Amino acid sequence: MNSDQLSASSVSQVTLPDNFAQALMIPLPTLRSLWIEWNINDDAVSDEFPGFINALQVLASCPNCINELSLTLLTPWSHTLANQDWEKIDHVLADRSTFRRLEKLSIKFWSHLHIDDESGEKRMQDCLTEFRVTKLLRLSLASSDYLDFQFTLDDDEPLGLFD
Amino acid sequence: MHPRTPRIPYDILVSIIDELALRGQLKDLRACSQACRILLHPCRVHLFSTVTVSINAPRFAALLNQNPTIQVYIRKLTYRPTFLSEDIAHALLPLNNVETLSLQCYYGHGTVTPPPRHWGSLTPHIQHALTHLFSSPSVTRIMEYSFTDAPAILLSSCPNLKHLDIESPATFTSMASNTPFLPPPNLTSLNTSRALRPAVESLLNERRADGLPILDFSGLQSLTVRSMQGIADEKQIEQILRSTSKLEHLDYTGIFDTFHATL
Repeated sequence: MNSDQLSASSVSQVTLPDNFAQALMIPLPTLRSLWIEWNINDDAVSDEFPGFINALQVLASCPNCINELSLTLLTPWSHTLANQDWEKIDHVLADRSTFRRLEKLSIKFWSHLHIDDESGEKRMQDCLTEFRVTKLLRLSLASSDYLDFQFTLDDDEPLGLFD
Repeated sequence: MHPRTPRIPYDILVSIIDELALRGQLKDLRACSQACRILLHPCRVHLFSTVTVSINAPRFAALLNQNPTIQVYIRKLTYRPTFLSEDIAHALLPLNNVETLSLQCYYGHGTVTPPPRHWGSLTPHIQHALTHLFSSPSVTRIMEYSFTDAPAILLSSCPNLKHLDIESPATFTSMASNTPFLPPPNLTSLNTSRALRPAVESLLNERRADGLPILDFSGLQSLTVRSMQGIADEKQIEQILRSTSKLEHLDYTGIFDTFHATL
């Protein structure tokens, strides 16, 4: 199917993220900073995160001199990374043999929905607990020497990772 | 010392003017420019450094006509081709210090009709003025480029172009040109985040009349791309990545939604 002719019903079949991962297999020995943003705009789209992780894994599998890495996930509230997805990200980032030159890491997890009431805040905290996000990232950071790290759930409410 | 000459060293005065500009105090800059002849030049450096030309084209042309020295201060020019009078051609032709050229061809606030994007819809005088501007050695950044069917030599004749920001629906044609061919500009930064695949494809694959590519990507250090469900797909990204050996920064955004998938 021509990608220009994709219908809404087939969106979940799109494999573009993997194609991007393929593009990253080209040696990029001079690459110093990489910013990847996955922007998912509605609930009809799913299964994109594996592509995001694949891109990260492909990159980590090649020799690189990246010293700045920024990962941004912008999703509707219903989309959250599953445990195993976080574990894969955690695994890639925690392996000091891959991103040996990494000095600045930024992970932003944004939700389109504004969390402006108690129930919303509770839902956010439940999500964090359920998916063990803070725990996983805390594990990976404990053994690292990343100079800068930010983890954001909402543009108005940056979450202190070690709060 | 002349009684009307300020008793402050000139470089201090300039620093004060620079500080006013840094704080965006245009009203004060205007007042200073009229307070003393010695302040005119440092104030004009800031007052006319960034100029937007659209429906004010006749006034802009008249200003330059009455004060021709002002053109040397214009370093960033934003041109919205909403007003296609010959005035604009006369106003653009003398500009030879522009470093950043921004071309805004979109529906702006209060715009009734879209500005023309098709190169052929511009009058010959405006085409000539823009071609002259593009070929200026001072131009290093071209922003929001979205003309359709402009001759490939237009971008290619910008000898010191370093940064290009290309938007859809830009396309290029390899029509013959009488302009002497220079080597394709050696780009260091490319932003295609607002360009869909046809625009990027055209940029990468169209050739000048002499068969050379429009731009030289071998020295590209920074690439910003946005991919929407495959509309700007991996082949173009891969093609650009393969053509450079100096990439230092890659900014990739993937957009996934049902709206863009059905475009």
